[in-house]
Amino acid sequence: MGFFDLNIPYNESDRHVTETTTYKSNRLKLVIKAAELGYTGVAYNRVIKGVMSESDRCSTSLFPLSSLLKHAPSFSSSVKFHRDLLNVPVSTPFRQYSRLTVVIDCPAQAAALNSGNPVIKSYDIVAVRPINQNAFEQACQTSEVDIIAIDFSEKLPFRLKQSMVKAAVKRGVYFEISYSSLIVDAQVRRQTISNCKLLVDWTRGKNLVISSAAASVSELRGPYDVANLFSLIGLPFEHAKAAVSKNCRSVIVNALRKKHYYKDAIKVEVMPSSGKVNPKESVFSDWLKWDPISSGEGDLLLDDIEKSFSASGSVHNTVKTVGFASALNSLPSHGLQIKEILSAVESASEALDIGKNLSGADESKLTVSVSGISEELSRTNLLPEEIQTSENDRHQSPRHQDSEMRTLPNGSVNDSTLAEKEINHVVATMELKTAKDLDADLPASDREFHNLHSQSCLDSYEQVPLADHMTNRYSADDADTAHTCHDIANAEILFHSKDVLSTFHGEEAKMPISSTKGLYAESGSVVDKIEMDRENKKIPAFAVSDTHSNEEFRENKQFQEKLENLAAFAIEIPNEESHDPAKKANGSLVSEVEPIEEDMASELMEEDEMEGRRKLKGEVAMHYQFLSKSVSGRGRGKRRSVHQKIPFNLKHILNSRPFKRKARKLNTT
Amino acid sequence: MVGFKNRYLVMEVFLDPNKDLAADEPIIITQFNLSKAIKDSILTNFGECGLASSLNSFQVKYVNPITKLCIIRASREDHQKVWAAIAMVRSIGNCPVTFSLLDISGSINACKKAALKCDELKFEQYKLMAQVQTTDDILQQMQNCLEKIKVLEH
Repeated sequence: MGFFDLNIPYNESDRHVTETTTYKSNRLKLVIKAAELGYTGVAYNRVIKGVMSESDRCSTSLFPLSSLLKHAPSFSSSVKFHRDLLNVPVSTPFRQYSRLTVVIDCPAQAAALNSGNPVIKSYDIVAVRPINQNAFEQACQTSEVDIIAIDFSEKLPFRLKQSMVKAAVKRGVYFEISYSSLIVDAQVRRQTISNCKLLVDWTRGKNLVISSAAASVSELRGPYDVANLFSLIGLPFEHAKAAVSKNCRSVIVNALRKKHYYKDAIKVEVMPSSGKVNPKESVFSDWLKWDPISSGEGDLLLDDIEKSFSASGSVHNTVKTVGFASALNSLPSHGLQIKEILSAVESASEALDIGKNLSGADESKLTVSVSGISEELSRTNLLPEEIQTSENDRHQSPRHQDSEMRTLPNGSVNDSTLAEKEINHVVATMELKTAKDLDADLPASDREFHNLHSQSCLDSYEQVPLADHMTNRYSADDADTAHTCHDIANAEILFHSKDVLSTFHGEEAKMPISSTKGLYAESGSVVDKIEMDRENKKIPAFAVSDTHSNEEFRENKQFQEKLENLAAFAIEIPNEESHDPAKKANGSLVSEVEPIEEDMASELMEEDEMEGRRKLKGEVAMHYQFLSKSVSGRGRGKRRSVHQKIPFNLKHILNSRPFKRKARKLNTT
Repeated sequence: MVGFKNRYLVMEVFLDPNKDLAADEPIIITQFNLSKAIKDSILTNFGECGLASSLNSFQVKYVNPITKLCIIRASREDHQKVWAAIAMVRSIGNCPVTFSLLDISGSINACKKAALKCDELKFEQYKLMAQVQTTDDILQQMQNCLEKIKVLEH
């Protein structure tokens, strides 16, 4: 668990400051010392009084590794030494954040502290310093800040009230105590201890953050020393340790979440763009390395010291988030026409602020995904079979979180605005803030699959090729990759349901060779409401229900909800001969998900239809177990009419229908 | 069985942290001046009684002036106070100093092991930092100090 010091004074942007170099060098020394003492992160705190102006935007210069090394030749070894002693892994990057403390005097000033304020948004962490009773109450009850930092070193101008403190704790706001005042001066020490005691007693360490506010290097202390200092005011050692490490970390996580996520739900991230489709490379490894408390360029990887001494060339690829608002604004409000794809792609890519280094980032992928959103898919691509085959073996545990992403609507261009799609596209981390949830390694083949899919998804509008975005989140589910590309033209869709169950996410939709069979729509993503248009022998990407689903899904972020949605999907096996319009008449979910083994599907094309189907039956049935639970109930009714060409053993699947009720319910809606 | 329960703190001293890579040492730390500085700190922060009760077991057992490592013993019931007082030490004589805890243990053996390890690592760092080449003299001194650690007793 890393230790953080969230209050390193930053005075360089003050309006009346003339001598910035000394401040900067002082700050540099502080940072070096903090890193050497074993801290894993610091935040540069800027204090603002009164009215904020545009010029107050964050302009904190984060120190690159080179400048740190220049000043302390034994930097890396002493960092390593201390980290070993503190049991902090040496490979943890050293992070730098920017923080703002707003001094609040009256309610009018407090009004500026809402989340819409762009000046505030430019800082990572926001703190408030109330200096009278009203301000304190307002800070505890309403202000949208991360930290309440009261200056304890002087006589407090207001009283701390336990009800206020409780209210703040309930809201998730942290109180901050600075320990430099304990070290500097005996008089100040007296004041600090007597002021803090009450707060410490009431919070008992919960929602408490300890930081230094050190004016110079001699006021900085190691994390354990600091924790022990607070035993003087009655804070037990364990709680004090947590206050320096765990609590700080949660402040940072929350603060960064607010900053990077649109309405706490959606994060726009640049797709890894590698110039080529490299099956061997792990496209999604970036996602797996997603760092919830990354500070972007502020991260300093210390391993590099030994390797290359280049801070900027760090191997560490944090997925950079994209300014959501900018992405949103730059995308047209309606779906793109194919003609516009290219232009849209360019604009989108610019808007998406692709400039962050992602290993193997592939610009083309990004364009692919963007274009994939496009409403019109002119051509249909057969997904490469070999990729699909590799998919088949995937079998991952369901990832509930992933399902959220999966459910992002694929297609249904009709109503959803492009922006929405974009949102959906986005690897909506949503609840999934921690990338740790992602199963680490997507098999290479999956990635490959995804890569290829992304390429081929260009034209398919049926499924938003969010795969690149999304798959990362669904590491478990390769099959589900958002690369469900439906080939409309071919009217063949082979659905691979690897883990349809797990996520119901976009599974490969591959249209089987037109001549045959039916459409096996695999809606990995619940969103995939693939409506088989039997008459057209096409697989309509998404019917009107899609839009419906889109909205639905956008709202539903829970896996359970998705499950339900998915359950609503009837698995239809389009059968040309036995087309049943009645089926289609069914409510929302039209598509039936029929997971099909990759290889089976491929064989299917080559072999005799029936034979292939028989084979498929068994395998699909197996895989379908998961998915089928929800779907089977619904599919049952439909299947009766399309039995001949059903490639898999529906009866087997239908035998167990735990979600029958759910399906029914959805049917009627 | 054992009457006295002690805690052994392995601490490092940062001399004059504000100066930029000073080549020469502002002061040389010894057991005496370290002990004095800490006692003063206990006195100002905990008063006469605080000093008196911790004085019994308080001792600076070992100091290495090259690597700035020191071992301090304190009684178990007072060790937190003593530790806090040490953290609040601002200067030794005229030189501003900073203390940082490296290790804390209850037995002298564990402390010796930790101190040896830390001492060696710190010496490596010192060699990196030192502008002047490490002379034999310094190496000899280091050896002496390491030997001293090994013969420490409670």
